[in-house]
Amino acid sequence: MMNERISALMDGEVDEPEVARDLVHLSSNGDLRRTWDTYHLIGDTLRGHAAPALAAKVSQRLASEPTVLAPRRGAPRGRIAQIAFSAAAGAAGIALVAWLALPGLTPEPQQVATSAPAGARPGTPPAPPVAAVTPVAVGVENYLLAHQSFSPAGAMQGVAPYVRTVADERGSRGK
Amino acid sequence: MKLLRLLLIASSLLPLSAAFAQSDPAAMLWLQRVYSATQRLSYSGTFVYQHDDQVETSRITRVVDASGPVEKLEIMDGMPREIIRSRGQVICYLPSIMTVKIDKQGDRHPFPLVLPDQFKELAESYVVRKGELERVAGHDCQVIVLEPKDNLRYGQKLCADLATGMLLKAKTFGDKNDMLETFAFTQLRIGGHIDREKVKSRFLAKSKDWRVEDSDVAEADLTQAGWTVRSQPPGFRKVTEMTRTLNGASGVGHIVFSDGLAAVSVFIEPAAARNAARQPGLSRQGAISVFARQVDSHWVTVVGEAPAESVKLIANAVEHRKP
Repeated sequence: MMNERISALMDGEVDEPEVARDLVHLSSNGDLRRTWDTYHLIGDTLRGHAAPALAAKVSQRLASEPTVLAPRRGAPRGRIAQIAFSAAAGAAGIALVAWLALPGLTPEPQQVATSAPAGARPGTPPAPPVAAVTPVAVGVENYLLAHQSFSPAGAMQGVAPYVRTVADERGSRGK
Repeated sequence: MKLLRLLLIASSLLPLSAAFAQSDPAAMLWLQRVYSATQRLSYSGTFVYQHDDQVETSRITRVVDASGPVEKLEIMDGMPREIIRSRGQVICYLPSIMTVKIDKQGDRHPFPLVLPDQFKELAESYVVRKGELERVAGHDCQVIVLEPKDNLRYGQKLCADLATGMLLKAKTFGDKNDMLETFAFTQLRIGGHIDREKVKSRFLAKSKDWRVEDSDVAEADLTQAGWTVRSQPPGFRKVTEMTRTLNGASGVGHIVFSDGLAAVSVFIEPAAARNAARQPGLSRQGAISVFARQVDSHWVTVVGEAPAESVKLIANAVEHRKP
């Protein structure tokens, strides 16, 4: 039973007969249950439902993690999976332990927050591939960058809404 | 039966009553507190930006001292990207494409100088009311709801720190109360000393050899070039207009409309050959709608945190008379 399976289960994407089997599996395996709990905790924290003490712990973890260097690729997953994987990249201290504890599980490269590409140290961006140097195609980011400073709604949030103006250039353009 | 009919009548009157409902002055005061906190405070924290099927985690640091405020935004998922904002200038560091994008706003930044006017305007299009108390990222916060009076704009549910007024969570919702996007802190430390080094880009030295895209903003009167926007959706008024360099082309027209909360930008670019692959039509990302159409030999692109309807109305009202 893999992490993806667990998130599929959380998202309600697993068929009825299989749910029962998975739940038995979960309840009999401590490691799997911890992963399940971690995913729920991350989900709850993001939705603002977690108990304050727990939420604070996850938040601290998110704050103290090194910046994620690995690019994100592939088709978008389900909502919980997105939340869980994305937050897991930050909460790698918790989530990575869960992955390592699962025998035979190979995390996909983009999910390993702490293993930067060979030769790169945390704090050093990976060398951009040659193709990425070519001028970018016309995207919405340039318009958003020009637009953002005029938004009164955005002005309430400081620099935060600028996150919209710098889409993952590789991710959004396929290369 | 009678009760049912009464209920039906009552529910059909609801939108009307919303249109005439008044904003709560206490809630307006809270809004004012939020704006002033945004200007005044130093803080550092982590927030998530959630839209469509995406969640992105970022770190934010803001330092205010004698030399003015500086803010840094670091995106922690995917490719590393950083944004530094200081003194009317926004710099984006994009290592994956070895590019620095600079947007200069100069001193004519429209916020928060126009606050009283802006608030009056806002109250014409939204009902502002206080909600319950909530808790976000370990801080008690006051919910403030901005409910649109029509479907030409989105609503906002905000939660502001009880102690400082700092915005901890902002949720944008559509006309079916569906969540379009959320910004929420998961960890935040307000105040205290923050080293100025913390708001410098770690790409500062490296980016010296990168490509630079400067916005080159200049004041302009676009009507002289023959461009007018015939009408706007109710509640929206023109805020400013300018020319800028965009997508490598200089002299691109930029007109901004706002209803006091949402803003919509109109961009007018010459339809160069390299834009040949562009398609007219509508697209969306979170609370942002984009509508593009061709007018004469130009592309008109309208971008804003507003429903498709509003963005389309504005785009279709753009006219060109050859000067």
